[in-house]
Amino acid sequence: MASHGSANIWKRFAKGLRRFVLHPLGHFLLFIVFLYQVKEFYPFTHVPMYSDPEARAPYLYLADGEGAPLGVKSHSGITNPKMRKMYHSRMRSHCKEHRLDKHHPPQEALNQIGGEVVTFLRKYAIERGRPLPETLRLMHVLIEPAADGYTETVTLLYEDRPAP
Amino acid sequence: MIERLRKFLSHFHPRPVAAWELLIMRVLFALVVYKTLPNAGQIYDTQTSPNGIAHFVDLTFLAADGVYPALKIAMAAALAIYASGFLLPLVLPFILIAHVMIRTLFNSQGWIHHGVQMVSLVLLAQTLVVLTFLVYRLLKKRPFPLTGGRSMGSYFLFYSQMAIISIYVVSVVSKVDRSDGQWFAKSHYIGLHVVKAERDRYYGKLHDPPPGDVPAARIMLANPNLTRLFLGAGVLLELLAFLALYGRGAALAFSLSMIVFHRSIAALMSIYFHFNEMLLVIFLVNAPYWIVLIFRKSRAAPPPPAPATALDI
Repeated sequence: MASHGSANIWKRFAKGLRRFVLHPLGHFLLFIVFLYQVKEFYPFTHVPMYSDPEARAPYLYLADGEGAPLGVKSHSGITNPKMRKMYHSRMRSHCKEHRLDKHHPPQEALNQIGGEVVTFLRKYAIERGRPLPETLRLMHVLIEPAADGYTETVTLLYEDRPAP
Repeated sequence: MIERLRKFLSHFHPRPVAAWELLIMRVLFALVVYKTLPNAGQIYDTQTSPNGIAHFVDLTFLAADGVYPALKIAMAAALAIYASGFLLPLVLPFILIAHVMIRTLFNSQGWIHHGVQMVSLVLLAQTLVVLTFLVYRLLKKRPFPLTGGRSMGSYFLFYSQMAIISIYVVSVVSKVDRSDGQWFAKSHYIGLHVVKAERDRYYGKLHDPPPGDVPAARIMLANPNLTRLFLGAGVLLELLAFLALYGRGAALAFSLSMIVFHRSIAALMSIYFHFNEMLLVIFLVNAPYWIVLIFRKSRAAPPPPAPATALDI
């Protein structure tokens, strides 16, 4: 008797599941689960931008040997956010590969990744006929909340100088 | 209660759609897809941070001499055929694969640009619909069963809308999960990102005035609850986006609200989602349908009464 009852429950469950899977909203929910599980695999994305707002927002900019800013997009065609994402993603991979603390990477890592990013930018700046100056600085700015709003702390991340 | 729920859910199905509506949508969407193709200078010959299929395939062949210009011409031809509505099972997979390859290479340089995924997802949805109809016909030796005035175009439109909406809904899942449920509590920190966006824009071209104070960011940081209210409205809109599949009216209401939200974010943070907005306009606002509907209703309405004359009085 009991087994007959449980068989009925399973039958009803299977019927309900089938109806859910065949219903367009079922397709929709399954696709949402799929997108979130896959994360970033073009064209699939879980849209992570601004999903975990932290009390710090870093950005980078490019400067010449005197510290004067340079328009990275005007020179290389690559926007400032793309330069920042490229730097951070390479740094993450480097730290993961060499088991380093990604929040406090050693100077060698800063030099290596900074050098790679600057080399990439120089290449496309030359292709566009807008070469970058020989001495280049990659500046890091950290925006943090403060009592009167926010503060911006500027540090030199990497300097690319011509060999003497 | 169950009956009401069943009735409510019965609305979430493909609806009849006119051939001319689909033609307009295909023409506009073809233009959008072409617009998302990068310039030749943005086809990089490296993929140092592979994304998507770049993990398995070396896509840098696209940067070889003459390959990308030829592919772009082939894409233009395929998009013209797509817009006409012919040979869809042939041209759609080609457009989808080419688009995914091109944009994947672009996203394999260490940055992930989130402005174009929706376009590829709509291409994917349309390809799946067209291929499902084709495979069904080949396997069952009869056409896909259609009822209630539906056509393949009904599914084509419905699943395109679903692809668009899924991006908004999954972004809410990310916000809840990645922030451990603390998104609303931390949302005022987006004020810091408003400053970052301002700086990013300036340091890209140095065209704007040099970076100064960002009052909007100060207001957001000083008024966390006000910020939560504003941003929370956007998140609620994203969460309820699936209701746009309820019907044409719901799709219009949602898409217009979403466009207003995108515009607000653009004004505040200089972050633009042009392609998302274009897809909302094409597949959810669907202005030609409403224009024709209003035109037909105005013509079908009884003529207004003639003005009173002296004799009537």
